[in-house]
Amino acid sequence: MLEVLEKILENVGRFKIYSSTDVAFAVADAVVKCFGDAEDLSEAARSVLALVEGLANTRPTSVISFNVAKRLVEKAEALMKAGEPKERVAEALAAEAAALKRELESSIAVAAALGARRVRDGSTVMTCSYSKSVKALFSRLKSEGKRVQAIVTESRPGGEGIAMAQELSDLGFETELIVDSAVRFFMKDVDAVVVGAEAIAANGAVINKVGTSLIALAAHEARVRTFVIATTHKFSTETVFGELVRLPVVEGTALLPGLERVKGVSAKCPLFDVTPPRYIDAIVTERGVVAPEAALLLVREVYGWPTAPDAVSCARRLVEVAERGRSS
Amino acid sequence: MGVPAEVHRIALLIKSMRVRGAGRIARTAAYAMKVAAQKYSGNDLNEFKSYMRGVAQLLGSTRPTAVSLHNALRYVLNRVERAQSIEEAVVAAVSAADSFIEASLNAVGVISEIGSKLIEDGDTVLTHCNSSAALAVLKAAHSSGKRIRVYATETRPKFQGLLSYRELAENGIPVTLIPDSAVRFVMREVDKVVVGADTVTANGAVINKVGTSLIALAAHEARVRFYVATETYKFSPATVLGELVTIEERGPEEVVPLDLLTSHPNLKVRNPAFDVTPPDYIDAIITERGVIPPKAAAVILLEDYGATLAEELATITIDIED
Repeated sequence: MLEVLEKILENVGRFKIYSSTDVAFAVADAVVKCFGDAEDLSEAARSVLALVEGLANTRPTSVISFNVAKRLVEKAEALMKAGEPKERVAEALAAEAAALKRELESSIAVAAALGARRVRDGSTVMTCSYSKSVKALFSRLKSEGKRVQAIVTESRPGGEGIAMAQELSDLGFETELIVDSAVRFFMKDVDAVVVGAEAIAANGAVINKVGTSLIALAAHEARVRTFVIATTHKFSTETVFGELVRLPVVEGTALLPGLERVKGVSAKCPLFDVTPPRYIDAIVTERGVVAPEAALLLVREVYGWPTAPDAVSCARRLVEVAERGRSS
Repeated sequence: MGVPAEVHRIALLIKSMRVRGAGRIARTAAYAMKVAAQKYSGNDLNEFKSYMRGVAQLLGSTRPTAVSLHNALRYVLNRVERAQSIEEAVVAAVSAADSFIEASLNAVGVISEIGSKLIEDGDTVLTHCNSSAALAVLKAAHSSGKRIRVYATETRPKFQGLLSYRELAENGIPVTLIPDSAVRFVMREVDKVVVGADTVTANGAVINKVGTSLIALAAHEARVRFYVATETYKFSPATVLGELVTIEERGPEEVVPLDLLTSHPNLKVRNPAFDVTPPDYIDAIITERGVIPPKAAAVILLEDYGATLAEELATITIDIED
């Protein structure tokens, strides 16, 4: 059981799964699998806890994954408290996971439709990294018949911008791939920057692939607008209570294509950086286009007030509920 | 007579970027001029002059935008043009090339000494690409007993940052390689940025490896001091007369394998080699003639090229309508 979890976590940590939404999908599948594979509810709950804790270590920034895990854990807890057997819980969770995925997909589509309104026909859009939401926005632009030129950075470490550039070009957009350093060189040709997000903090700061804040800074300097497209599932409730988002840094050259085999080099690869709200013109969500500073309002509206505890606490409580269920 | 094979070989080394860095390119070009002069087998002054102009043209075409290269060629050629006899011309070419190379090497030494004073004990310094002048400053600071730490950007697409990394590490300086995208992430830990230059323009803008202007912007935002270490032969006299500096764009194969582009017809790679850092983001330019504010670049240019520039200005004719 744990092997499967380790595999997922390794892929997540190594950027083998590019988009944070895809990470959340993988986590949803993993939670369902925890219940499918376990002998009993107590074992399932412990596996879920191991998964959430593992995720907190490898990708602590992935708010959407924690929010997805939390939803499933809360569902499981309710079913277990109602005395449902393991098979029923597993079935119900599989259905809930499928519903969640549909919800995420449709939220992305709505946000993409709103975001597309901000992109004019004939304009040039710069983006970075690999984002399902940004790709959805381009698909929307295509269906609206807007001709847009894309500029995509390689997005090292990892370099997943190359995959993004290929996919946008395959959608039919004239796409230019550039090295991360060339952002300021091309900024004067850009009409808008559109990026995805790994997470959004309570103050409206955007955590996204490292390099995003440099692009936003260069855009700000050139008076180019920066839009972040992110569904409300990516809003971090923990940061409301002063929690800092821990940004993972990978030591060594493993994530630097072309330098993987270079020996004895001390290298530091931060995976994410923080773009301050003052460089962001708007965050495009499925609930509307908002100023980054209004993030807190959306958090209250979506998650209620005060918000539920974090995913790890929820998973711990699930283990307690399962243990109690076994002893009774 | 034709251009000797040896000179062609050197030209190819510059063109293929086996010889990199503005200083090294300039010295290599001066050396190639010397080789050409020594290999000249004729006995006619005018033929020699036009032969040397041909050699200079060939060498100049390898990197049309590298000012240091053109200034080196101009330096040698000017002295050849002034010669009165063939013997004098050959000697002038050889000694001009030698003195250019010597001055260039000395310049780095002087720059390192001046620049090292700007680095303080305990500083964390960020550098980009592989500039011999910038690295000389860091090495001089280190050997004068200042404890420094360095962040070296990998410098895509050609990873020149790895060369800097190795040179600093070999000299016992603690250095960490970072991807170019992580510059703003680490900037809070950085005290100073030191980079080299490819070209300095009349208004004090610095043309250097692409990404330099982005680093300067991030440094400016974080109130981190930004220094450019460069020899004055990288100052571009042509810009005094309004010439714009052309930014060389290099091939896509430096960034991705070419088959990626053939399989995706809408996908292109744009690969500019340099970018322009405006003087507003530069705290000082460290030259062998002292530390100057970037906007004083014109002073250096007028000192060095004032006479030639005046001659060129005089040739500009303006039609005034009645």
